[in-house]
Amino acid sequence: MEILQVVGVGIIATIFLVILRKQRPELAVQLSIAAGVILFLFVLAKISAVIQVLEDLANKAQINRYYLTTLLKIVGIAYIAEFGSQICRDAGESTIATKVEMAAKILVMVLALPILLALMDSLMSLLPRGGPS
Amino acid sequence: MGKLVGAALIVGAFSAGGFMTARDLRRRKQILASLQSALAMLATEIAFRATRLPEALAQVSETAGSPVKALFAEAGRRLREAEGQAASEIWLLAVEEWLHTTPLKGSDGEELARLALGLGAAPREDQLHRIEEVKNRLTCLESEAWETENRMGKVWSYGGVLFGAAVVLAIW
Repeated sequence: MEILQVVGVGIIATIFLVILRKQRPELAVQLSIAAGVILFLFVLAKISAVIQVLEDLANKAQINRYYLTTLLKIVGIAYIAEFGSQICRDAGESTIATKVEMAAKILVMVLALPILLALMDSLMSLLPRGGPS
Repeated sequence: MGKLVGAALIVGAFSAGGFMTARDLRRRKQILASLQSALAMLATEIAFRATRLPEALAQVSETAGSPVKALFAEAGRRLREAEGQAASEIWLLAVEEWLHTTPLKGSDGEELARLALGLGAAPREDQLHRIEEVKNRLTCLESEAWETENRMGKVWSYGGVLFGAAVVLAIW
C-alpha cells in the first residue's frame, strides 16, 4: 500500500505547487525539491533491501564489498547527471547539459578504474606465463 | 553517524549556495524595477516641485524600497555635506559603493553611472531627458533580468542540491 502514500504525497505536493507558483514562485522550487526528498525517503527502505540482497550475493560469491559500493555510486551518479542535464535542457541550456553528461561520464570512468584494473589482473592471471618450451 | 552528518553538511552547503544565487537573480529584477520607480519620482521632484537636488534625493529615498533607498539616501547626504565636490562625482561614488551591496551586475551600474552626466549642473530639461534615457535602459535590463531568472533560477536551485549529492556520492 506504499504506492498509495507515494502517489498521495505526489498529488498533494502538486496541488501546493500549483497554488504556490502563482504566489511565491521562489518557494515553489524549494517545495518541489522537498517533495522529491520525501518521495526518495519513502522508497529508501526498499532500496536498502535491494542493496542488502546484493551484499549477501557479493558475500556468497566472495566478491570484495568495495566493488559493489563503487557500482552503486556509479548508478547514483548516472541518475543525478541525467536529472541535472534534463533541468539544464528545460532551461534551454543544452550546451551546459552536454557538459554535465560529459563530467558524469568522466567521474564514472574514474570510479570504475579500480574495477577495470582488477578485471585486467584476473585476465592476466588466467593467461599462461612464459614462452614456448 | 559522523559520515551522515558530513554528507548532510556538504549537501546543505551546496544547496544553500544554489538557492542564494537563484535569490540574487530574483532580487536583481526587483531592484531594477525599484530603481525605475525611484527615477520616475526623482524626475517628478525636479520637474514639478523644482526641489534642490539634495532634498530631491532625500525625498526619493523616503519612498523608495530597500535597497534603492540606501543609494538615494547616501547620495543626498553626501551632497548636503559636500564641499566643492560636483554632484556628478558624488553620484558616481555613491553608485560605486552601493553596487557592491547588491546583486546588480556591472552593466546595471554603468547605466546608473550615466545619470551623473550633468546631474545638478545641466539645464532642467537636459537632466529630465537624461533620467528618462536611463530609465528606459533600466527597463531593457529588467526584461533581460526576468528572462535570465526564468531560465537560470531553477537550474541554480536544483543544481546546488544535485551537485552536493554528486560530491557526497563521489567521496563516500
